[in-house]
Amino acid sequence: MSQAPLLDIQDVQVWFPVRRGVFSRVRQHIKAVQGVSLSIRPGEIVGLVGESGCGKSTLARAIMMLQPPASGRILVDGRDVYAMNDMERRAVRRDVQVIFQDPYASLNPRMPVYAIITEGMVAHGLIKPAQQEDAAASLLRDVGLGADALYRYPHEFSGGQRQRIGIARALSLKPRLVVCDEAVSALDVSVQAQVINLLLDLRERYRLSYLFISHDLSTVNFIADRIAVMYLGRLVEEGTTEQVMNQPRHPYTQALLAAVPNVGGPRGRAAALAGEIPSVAKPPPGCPFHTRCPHAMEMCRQSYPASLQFDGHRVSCFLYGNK
Amino acid sequence: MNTPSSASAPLLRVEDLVVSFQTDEGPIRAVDRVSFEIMPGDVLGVVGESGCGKSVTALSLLRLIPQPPGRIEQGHAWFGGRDLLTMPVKELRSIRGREISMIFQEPMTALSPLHRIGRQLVETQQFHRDIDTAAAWRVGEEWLRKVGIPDAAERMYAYPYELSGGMRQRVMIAMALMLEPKLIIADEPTTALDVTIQAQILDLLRAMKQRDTAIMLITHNLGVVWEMCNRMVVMYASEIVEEGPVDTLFSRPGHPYTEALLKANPALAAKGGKLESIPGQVPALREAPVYCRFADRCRYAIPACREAHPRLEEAGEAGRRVRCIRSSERLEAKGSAS
Repeated sequence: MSQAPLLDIQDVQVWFPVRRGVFSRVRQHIKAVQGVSLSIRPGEIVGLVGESGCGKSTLARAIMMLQPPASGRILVDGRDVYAMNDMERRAVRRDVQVIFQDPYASLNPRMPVYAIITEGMVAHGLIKPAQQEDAAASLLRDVGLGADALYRYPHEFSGGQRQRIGIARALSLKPRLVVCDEAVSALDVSVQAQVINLLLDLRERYRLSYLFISHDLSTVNFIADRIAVMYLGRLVEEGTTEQVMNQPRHPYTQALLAAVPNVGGPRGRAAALAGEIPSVAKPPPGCPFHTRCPHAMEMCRQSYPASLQFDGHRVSCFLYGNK
Repeated sequence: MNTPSSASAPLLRVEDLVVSFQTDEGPIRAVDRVSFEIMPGDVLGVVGESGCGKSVTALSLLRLIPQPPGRIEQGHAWFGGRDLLTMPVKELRSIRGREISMIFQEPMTALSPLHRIGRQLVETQQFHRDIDTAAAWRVGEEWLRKVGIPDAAERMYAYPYELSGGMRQRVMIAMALMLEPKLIIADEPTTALDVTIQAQILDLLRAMKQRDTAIMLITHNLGVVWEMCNRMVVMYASEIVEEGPVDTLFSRPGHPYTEALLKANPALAAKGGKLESIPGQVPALREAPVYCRFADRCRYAIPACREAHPRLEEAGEAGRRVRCIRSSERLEAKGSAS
């Protein structure tokens, strides 16, 4: 590894208590994220893919300091974000920003655009309130919007424009890592292409890192340097985009890739996976994928496989050996 | 008028459909002179971005748009010699669900939340057929099994909220297929589903196609169109801009908008480069130009494109229609280049 990671997630577990009964006692825990390790280097785009309930958004919340992990550590620049004093924590909150799927739900409808995108700068003492308009105009230019947007309100913009406003707000604090949680999923393809191009531009210009969370494999394949795949709270495979897309090792990744309709490819393939994604509240024992896995063996029902490395390509599956 | 059914007669022929919506700032045309045909066994993909009129077209065929504010201004939808748009509502009801059924994106909006799955399956049959409850229950259960629902007998007693999204979608598909309709209109049937579940649902629809059921598949996902459809219609700003065989349109798109949609798709782009994006955005319907509606975003636009509204005309291969004055010229250039 040539460079120290900007973000280093070490064996993180996130649990949610389930309370039941008259005294609201904690009866069980939903283990939304289990034993996930992942790192992102400066300037790198890591794609995080998986289907509903796989824990990708929960992991994002843990990174955003919104959901403390039950165990494990999340390090930014080598320092544990959940073991910091208030001063340090404020600084990290600037370094790590987020862009959500639905920009309309995340932009205050009663604030003009200039105030929305510079609110954080004022709060962090980067500028004085009198400088808000100027700062906002320059940020809007960065994301391809004109200065005429300054005094308008979110409802006056289209979905793609609102997403640009969300990006401008994320950029306002000069972050180093931006978590994009399904940031382009709700957009039409032509607008989606504009926003993806913008994200790539901004990475070059500001040497940003992205954690790009998406259920859309083709978008992740296009944008990411590395890809991590999650299934029911576990990170099952991780490697360079070429490794994961061209030589997927985990049976789940293989099935996921086979399920994507492939323009120009063969038609009429039968679905690779039968059955449903099990509930996170009652995950199957052992490897949680064994209920749908075409290669499931006895040991898959009993214990969870350790992570194995092949040339920086990590996979957790007994098919590749038993440590 | 009774058209004898033959292999070459279209199952559905839509002619010059115009649908408008009344808004605070006056009426807008959500569907503008749309014409197309579906042959028996066809799977027709209807693609386009939000607001292009693809869903309104589908809903209008069964007169399911709220009127007002919606209004079917003109046009015909010939189905077996009868016009769906003008026939008495009573007659239309006997067609809905029986001969033409619909699958929506969100099954929760189509299933009754208050009734068990079994009862809904029974009622749907009894509305159209003279069948006793016990027999209808058996048919319903059989269909749940056919669409791949485990423990079908038990699921008959479930309420929709007790099922996952993929399972609810299967129930709606079972309900749509149960009466063996001639045409299924599916509006984004897999958009809300995870990809591995989407693949299972597409398998089900493919199985229907093999029984000669025609499908009109509305989607924004070009991969799904490629996998499922033999013909496609591309809509932009309320009108059809291109129509033809899927293979032809994917390999040699005739309309610049079709081409741009394909190139903006990350699945088809070369990694490490930029996606080709379409500058600007879809015009608001009220402000759509009187000339070519795509001209202001089009990389091939010439002054003549801003002089008149182009007609949808045959261009290049037979069976392909394009609404672009430069399509023949561009397709010829592409043909000689390859």
